[in-house]
Parts: sequence; structure tokens; C-alpha cells
Amino acid sequence: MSKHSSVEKSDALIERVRGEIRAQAATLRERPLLEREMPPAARDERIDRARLAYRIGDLTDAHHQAFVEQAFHALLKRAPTPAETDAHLALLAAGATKAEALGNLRWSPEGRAIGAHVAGLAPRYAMAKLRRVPLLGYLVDVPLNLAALPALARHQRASDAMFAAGNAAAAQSDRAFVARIEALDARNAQALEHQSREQATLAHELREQDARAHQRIDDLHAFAHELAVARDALTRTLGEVGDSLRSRIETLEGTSANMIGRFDELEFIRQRFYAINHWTHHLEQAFARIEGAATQNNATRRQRALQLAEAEVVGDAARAARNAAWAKAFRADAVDAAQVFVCASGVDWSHELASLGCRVVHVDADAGAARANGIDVESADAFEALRRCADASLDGIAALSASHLVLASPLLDWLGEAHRALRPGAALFLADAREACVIADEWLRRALPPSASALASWSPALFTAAGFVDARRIDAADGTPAWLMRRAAA
Amino acid sequence: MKIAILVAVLGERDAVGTDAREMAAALARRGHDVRLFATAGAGAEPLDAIDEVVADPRAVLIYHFAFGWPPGIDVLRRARCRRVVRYHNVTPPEFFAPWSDEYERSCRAGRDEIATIATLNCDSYLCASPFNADDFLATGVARERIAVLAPFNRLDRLVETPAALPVLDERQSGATWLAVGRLAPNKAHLDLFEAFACYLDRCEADSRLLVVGSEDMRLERYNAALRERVHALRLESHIHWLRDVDESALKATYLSADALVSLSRHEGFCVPLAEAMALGVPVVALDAGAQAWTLCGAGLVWDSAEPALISASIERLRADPALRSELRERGFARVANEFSPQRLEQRLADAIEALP
Repeated sequence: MSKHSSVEKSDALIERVRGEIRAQAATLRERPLLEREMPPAARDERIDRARLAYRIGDLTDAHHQAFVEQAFHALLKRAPTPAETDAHLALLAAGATKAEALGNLRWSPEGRAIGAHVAGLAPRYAMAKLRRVPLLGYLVDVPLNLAALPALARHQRASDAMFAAGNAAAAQSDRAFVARIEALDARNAQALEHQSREQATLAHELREQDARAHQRIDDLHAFAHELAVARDALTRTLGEVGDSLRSRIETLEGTSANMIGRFDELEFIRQRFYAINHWTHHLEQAFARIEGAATQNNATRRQRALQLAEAEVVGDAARAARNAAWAKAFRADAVDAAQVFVCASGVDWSHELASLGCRVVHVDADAGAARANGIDVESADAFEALRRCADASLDGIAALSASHLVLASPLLDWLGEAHRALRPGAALFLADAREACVIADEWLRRALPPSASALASWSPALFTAAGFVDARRIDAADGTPAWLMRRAAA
Repeated sequence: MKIAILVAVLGERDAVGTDAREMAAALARRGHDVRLFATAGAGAEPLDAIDEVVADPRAVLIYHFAFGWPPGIDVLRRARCRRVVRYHNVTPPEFFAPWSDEYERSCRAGRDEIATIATLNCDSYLCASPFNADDFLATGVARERIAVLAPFNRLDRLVETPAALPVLDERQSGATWLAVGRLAPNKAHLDLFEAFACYLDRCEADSRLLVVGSEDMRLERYNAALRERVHALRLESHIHWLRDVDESALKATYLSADALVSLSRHEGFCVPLAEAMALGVPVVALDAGAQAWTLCGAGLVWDSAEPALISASIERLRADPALRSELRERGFARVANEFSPQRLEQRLADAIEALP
């Protein structure tokens, strides 16, 4: 945009200048005519350019070539060319008057432009031109010449006297010239003798200079040789540098080609990386969907197993008597309105305890089955729920299927968390009844660790080491093993 | 690709010879097998050897057309290869009518050949300027077969050549006008002398005019008329005639000039204008032929050779450094964009590749 604007501006400048030049041209003719300055070679000091007024006698006194040159200097303010000189001399030789020659120059286009004034020239020039007219010129010329005969005779006599005087002067000049030439001859002889001596001296000096010049030439040849050697060395060096550069260029070209190949490979790898990343993402999504489906499937299976297990538990005829006996024993060790944490048990066990005045919190990971029974049910993993309980906040913990608890977390961890959450003296009840969760685990092939399933083999020393006292077996009448103990005082 | 370049006479330094030689060099640099054919000229093969090239349909013939030359038409007719006409323009015979019957006949024949060549249905017509292209458009040649390609030149060499110091030393206080070109009627030297005399009389009396160009012996009547006009205008001591100048002296004349003045009335391109632009010399020219296109704003172009107008232009150029600078910059840009050898070579290569 700025460039375009700059071009427009400069176009406007040129147009403005053109207009000014046109205006200037219109006034050019009104300027005064300049006197042309001639180049140095063309200048002639004999030409008085300022003088434009002459008397005819000023221009006619000279003769022959001097007359022609003087006429040109005065009337045209320049020297005549050789052709012009020849032409005017021929005119005079043909009998033309000087007035006619002067008039020809004065009234030529060039002479008119200069405009010199020669007093008395005009009538003489007119008469000369009139004499050129056939017949009329003759009729004019004859009477005029007849009338001028006395004057012409006087001029003739004067001319004779002038020529005689001229001859005498010329003879005297000749004699003077002869004497001058003889004197010059004598001087020439002396000069020749002097010159021969000078020549001998010069010849000697020239020989010396010649010897010095030869020495100088030899020096120059030696220097030229050194230069040639240096030039050859430089040429070789330049050649080597050139070869090196060419080699370097070829190497760089090869490297460049390799780099281009690498770039292609990198591009290929980049594309593959993106593709793999894409596939991995899809794979992760597929795995997530599979895991979700598996989890859902497991939950469904477990839910069905629990429902069936609970049906089987309901069919256990000894269960009610067994639980009632254990509840009675637990209640005997607990304080009134004890806060009891129940887990790994059927909800009827929680009801049994509640009926004996305990405040029960029933924890079950599968809480959906217990929620309808109207007791305080927490749907959570039993171990995690116990960990959330504050220190010494519980009056009792009761679990009918202790083996189910140790399936997920080690027994000692359980005992440690129970010791923390129970108040000193609070009761801990652990039995190994076949509650629905245990039956469901068996059906779902979740085998118990051999040590964990042997509740009957646990010893009081184990519980004492875990911080409990009064650990004793309160096995059911049908032989189902159970332990009841209290948390030791602080 | 085999390429035959045909020219009537292969000159060493004239515009057509230079174009043909530099064109051949440019095509050779592009890997083509280029051969020059002419009736005369150093480096050219004889005309009868051209048939082996032009008989090959895959080859290209480039015929440089600058004046009437029937053998060139014959070669174009019998060529079986692709044919390109390189048109430099032919001076209209009217310019020569008062001065030379021989030139008049030659130019008339050349102008007649334009129509003949147009009917030969050549593959391409490479014209040196849009002004030249108009000649073939007027004959009905399809516009898509006509292209404009400025003449190849030696501007780079001229710019790099050292100027002859003795010529530069002759510079004087007054203005220096420069005219470059052979002495021929269409170049309008008579108009130039009138304008220069006006400048001497009205602007600066100590000025000089450098006329670079040779007389043609066949134009003796015209040469005599020039001498008479110089004498009548009293210009003898102000005009320096420079004939057979080498590149070094030519460059010096350009550098010593205040302006190149070209009042030529017919130019197919006018190489001196490009030379002046390449050397930063302002140009004053007549809007005739291709001159306005060649300059493209990088000079003062007038539609009249009126002496006062030309004189006022030189006077303004002498007094206005900003104007000189502006024209100089435009000239440099014009040469770089349109007439540099690299640009011309690329355009020629494009034109050759575009041949069917």
C-alpha cells in the first residue's frame, strides 16, 4: 500500500515538473540571445566581439589572406574555415572588389544575425552588385571608369613609385638577409662543434644508463620470476581450497540427503506413534468396558449368591438358638445401651443384639439386603468402616463369620483396629458361623486361607498379644467355635 | 533441444547481432544445443547448413527479422520444426525517401514481408516491444501467439566496464547533451541540432553535444544535409562526433552527459535508452515508436520535438537534483525489472517451453 502510494506520489511529481517545463519552454524565446562561448580551441584573441561599428577603410587596408581574415573577424566574429578562405581569395582573384567581398559577408544570414555596421559599405556594395548585372553593369562601369581615368593614372604612378621603393627596400632586405645568413652559418659551425662534444658526453652517459637499465631489467625479470612462482603457488593453493570446498560441499550434500531421509523416517515414526496412541486409547476404553462388565457381572453373581445363601441360612434350624446364646453371653460382658459394631453377620444377629438393649451399627458391603429391616445399616466394607471409627468410641464389636473378615484383611490388622476403636473393657465377639456371606464366598470359589479358617485353633495368647484379656471359647451347642474377650484397660 | 538462430548478418555490436548472440548464450546455459546461422558474421554457420536442424520436427527455429531478406522467408517456409519470429521492427521507407533510393526499397520490402511472415502461421512471434507487436496484430496474427520480449543486451558488461578517463576529463562547465545511434533519417538528428542550437542561444552558450554514431556511406545526401545544418546553426565547435567508440569510451560519454536526448521518430525498442537507465543518466525523448514503453516513466517524454521544450527539459534537469534522482531510481528499477539478462533469459525460456 505504501509502495503504491509512493509511486503515485512520484508520478504526481513528474507531472508537476512536466507542467513547469512546458511553462518554462513557452518563455524561452523571450530570453535575450546569448553570445555563444567558443571552446578554448576555437577562441581567437584577434576578434573583438564587442565592436560592431567600422569604417570601410578599417577593413580594406589589408590585402589578400589578411583581408579575408580581418573581414571574417569583424563581420562574422569568427575565423574563416579553409574552404571559406579559398572561396574569397578566388573571388578577389577573379576581379571582385573588396567592397563586394565585405558586402557578401555583411549581408549573409550569419552577418545579418551579428549586425555589424560598416560606414560607407552599403553604396559601394550596391555599386559592385550593379556592375554584376549584364549590360547595365557594363553601361554603368564604362563611364565611371572613364571618369576615373585621371585618378587611376595618378594611382598607377603612385603604384609605380611604391613598387620601385618596394624593390629598393627588398634589395636592401636581401643584402641584410645574406649578411644575417653568413653570421648564422658561423654560429651554426660553432654550435655543431659544441654539439659534437655534447653528443660524446651524452653517448657516454647513455651507455652508463643503458647498463643501469639492463641491470634494472634483469632485476625485474627476477622479480617477475618470483611473482610467477608465487602465482603458481597461489594457483595450487586455490586449487586445493577449491577441491576442499567441493569435497565439503559434496559431504554436506550427502549429509543433507541423509538428514532428509531421517526426517522422512521421523515423520513415519511420528505417524505410527500417533496411530499407536490412538489404538492404545481405544484399547484402554475397551479394557475399561470389559472391567466394568466384569465388575457388574461379579456384583450380580455375588448378589444372587447372597440371596441363595440367605435362603440356606434361614433353613439352618440351630441358628436361632445358637445366636440367642451368643447374644446373651455378649450382652453379659457389655455395658447398658452399648454401642456395638456388627459385621460379617446376618441382620437377624443385629436384631438379636438390639433386642437386648444394644445400639447396633450394622455394616455390610451388600447393604441392599439389610436396608429393609429398619436398623442402622451402613453400606461399606467392614474393615474400612472400622478404620473410620474414632478411638475408643465403641462398646463392642461382634462378627458371626470372622473367617469372612480375614478373607479381605489380615487377622492381626483386624485385631489392631478393633483394639483402637473399642473402649477399655469393651467386648469383642468372633464366631465362625456359616453366615450367608461365607456361604456365598464358598459358592463364588473364594477359598479361605487355611490359617484364617481355623478359628478353633486360635489361642488366648494370640488375643493377649493383640491387647485383649479374658479371651475364652463360647462354642455353640452344635460345636460352632466362638471367642469372647474384652479390650484390656489402658 | 536443438535450436537454430537465423539472422541475415550477425553483427558484433549492433542491436540485432547482440540480441541474437546473447539469446544463443542464454539458451545454451539452459542446456539447449544452439547454433547461429547467418550470411556473414563471426561465429555464424553458413545458411546452407541450417536445413539439417530445421528438418527436425522437435527442433526450434528463431528467425531475427529486422529488414527485408527473402532467404529468411525461404528458410521459414521450408522449416519442418517449430518456428519463432523474433521481430525487431522495420523502419518505414518514408523516412529514407528523400535521401536514399536503395534504403527506401529495402525498407519497403521489409515492411511488405511483415504480411508475408504473418501468413506463414509461425508458432510464436517474439516482439521487442508492444509497439512492434502492433505490426503483427494489424495483420491478423492471433494475440496468444504474440509475446513481448525486450532485446537481450550487454547492460551488465557496460555497467562493469571502467569508463575511459580521457573522455571524462573533457567535461566542461556547460551542459553536455548526448545522442547515441547511427546517423539515419529516422533518428532525427536534424531536430536534435535545432534543439541544441536553441539551448546554446537561450540557456548555456558553452555547452556541447556528443554525437555517438557512425555515418552510413549509402546515406551521403543525408550526411551532407547534417553537415550543412551544423554549419548553418554554427554548431561546429560545439558538436563532438564520436565514431567507432569502444565500450569504455561509450560508458564515459554516458557518465559525462547531463542527459541522453533521443528525438528519434521511429524505434522498435531503442537500446541506448536502456543503457542510459542502467548507468543512471536522465533521458529526454520523443514519444515515438517504442520509446515511451522502453522508458516507462523513467525519463521526460514529450509528444513534440519543439526546440524550446527540449531545451527547457535539459535546463530543468541541470537545475533539479531531486528530479534527476527520481528519474535515476526509476531507470534502475526499470532495468532491473524488465531488461536484466537474468529476467530476459527466464522469459525466453518460458516462451520456448510454451511452444506446442
